[in-house]
Amino acid sequence: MKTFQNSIFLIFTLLCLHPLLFSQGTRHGIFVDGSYSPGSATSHIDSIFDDRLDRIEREMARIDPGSQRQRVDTRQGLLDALAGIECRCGDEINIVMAGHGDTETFSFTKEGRRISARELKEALGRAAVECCCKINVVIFACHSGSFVDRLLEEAHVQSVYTSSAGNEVTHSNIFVRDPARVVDEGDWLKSFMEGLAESRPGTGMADAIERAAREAAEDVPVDYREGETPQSWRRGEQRFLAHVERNEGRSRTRQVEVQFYDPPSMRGKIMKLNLGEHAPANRLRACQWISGTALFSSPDEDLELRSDIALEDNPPRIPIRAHVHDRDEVHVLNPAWQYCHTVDLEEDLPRDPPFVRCTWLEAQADILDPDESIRLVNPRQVNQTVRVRAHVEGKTGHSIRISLRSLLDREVNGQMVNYPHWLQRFGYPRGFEVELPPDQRRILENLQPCDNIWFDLTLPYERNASPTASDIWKIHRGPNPRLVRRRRSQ
Amino acid sequence: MKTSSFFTILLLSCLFIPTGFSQNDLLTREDATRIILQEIIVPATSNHTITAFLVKTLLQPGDIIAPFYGDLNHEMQEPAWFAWINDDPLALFAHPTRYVFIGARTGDVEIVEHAWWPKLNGESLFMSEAEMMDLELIIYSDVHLKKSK
Repeated sequence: MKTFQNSIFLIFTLLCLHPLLFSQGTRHGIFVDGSYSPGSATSHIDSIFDDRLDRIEREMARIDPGSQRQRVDTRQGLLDALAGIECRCGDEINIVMAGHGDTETFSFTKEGRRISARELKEALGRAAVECCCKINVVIFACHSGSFVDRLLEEAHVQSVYTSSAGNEVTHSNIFVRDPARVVDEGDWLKSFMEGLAESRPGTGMADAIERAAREAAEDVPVDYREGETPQSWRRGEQRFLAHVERNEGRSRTRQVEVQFYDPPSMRGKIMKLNLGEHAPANRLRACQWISGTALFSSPDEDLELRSDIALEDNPPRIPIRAHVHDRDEVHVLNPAWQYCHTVDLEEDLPRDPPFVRCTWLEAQADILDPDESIRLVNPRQVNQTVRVRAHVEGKTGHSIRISLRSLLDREVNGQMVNYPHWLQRFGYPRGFEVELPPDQRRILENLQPCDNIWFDLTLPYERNASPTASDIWKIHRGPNPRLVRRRRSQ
Repeated sequence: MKTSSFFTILLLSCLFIPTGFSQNDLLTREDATRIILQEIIVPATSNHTITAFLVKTLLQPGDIIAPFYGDLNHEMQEPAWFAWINDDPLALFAHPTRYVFIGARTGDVEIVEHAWWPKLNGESLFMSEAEMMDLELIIYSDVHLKKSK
């Protein structure tokens, strides 16, 4: 009987404590539409941005059905939304912003108003009424990286992900192809949206956002890669996998310099890790892969190790795409964090058929040393299709003779390269003939010497195969200046 | 009577002769296009993507061109053609663009760099859907294309 009474009492107590024991807190999602086009009309590009934000909002609802979500499209709307939140212990605010930006400002273009990074930081600070409220911010805009340091001044901001650095622009491959047709070939926000779709329901939003931002960073087209470097920072204690770059453990500071693979927000970053008492520094050697838990504070603070360190036997293995530089060397195109690194090929690596200079390889790769050494596994050469801009020199039969021009070369699958010099080094002279497939030949009637065109050029890796062209578009040019006569008398 | 006729003729002369003369002497839109394509953009030598817009009608004295964000106003002192060269058309803003003013009487060209799209008398220019799809307004683009089939 006594046992029964105790059980009843225990159940009653648990029921009373239920909200405290099992509450996940309130997760708020704020989706900020800064818009693309000025004026009250909604343009196609506005609609595309809207659709991306809609999808991100739906993904958040799928991943976290209990979350409370709201959409804002004005400066005051954002401030009001934040003012209406009392973020307490266990609560979370996730903000996704998309629009135009400038250094430390985000634009609400339809109303011609802006919010500064400082104003946003202060509004976030007011929304966080208890110290363990957590805030994650995602910004898709030019110069969005200039928000990172400012927002991290607010202690509740746990992570910030941006589409470019503070001094860089963000591109969106949306353009008018016909007078009535807008083409969407993607951008950082679209990749972020697709990355979010890969997270399962129940995944913490902070984790889902981090992974999606990592994927978006990997998807930046090669064309833009050197001028568009997404930024990320997530703080708190996190598991890491890192490569020891340098061991300064014998110094008083007991530090090692590491390059991170995980967490994803840190991939490729090199930072100093204070070992404290957790790991004997003299046990660590440069070039080892290590894992553990560290405290990530802010981008300008060293990291603090919070666990023992494990030595990893195997380096990360990742898919890569590379460009054959010569018989024994390739240059990495993807992933982005390995872009342009040189890989020396091992002598016993199978090469059947022999690698042809300037073709592309796809392979698995062991990252022995992120900056120095990658080992390829089962590489194979692949045809490459790039979108090139060219000048029409003439036409014969089913072929056009072109000369390659600089500018936008884009691979069909969305990767973009900008290597006219690479195409020339591939063995083609500046001008060469490209045969058109039957379904493309009628465009020949409209092409004249001196026209500028875009087309997808497929270069086969087999030596004897001919390059082919497809999807040809003539570059728009206004009134022909050769026909213009200046009427003004002197 | 004679005096008033004389003044009437004089007044009419003042009103119409300069205007009629200047209309014949002004650069046409085609002239402005030629200047932009042959002297400023020069497509054959450009090393980056560009979209350029040119207003369809001359700006008049008193018209004001200004960037969407920023304090600098350009008030027209004489009739001028205004073109906007977007030097990174697929980038969101802010990024390099050029405002080109071509004096319609003198042919003088002034180029000013601004990071945002222009406004004409307070209204945004060249960023509406209709404008971005208007192949008359766009005098050059290697991003926004005309299908050639």
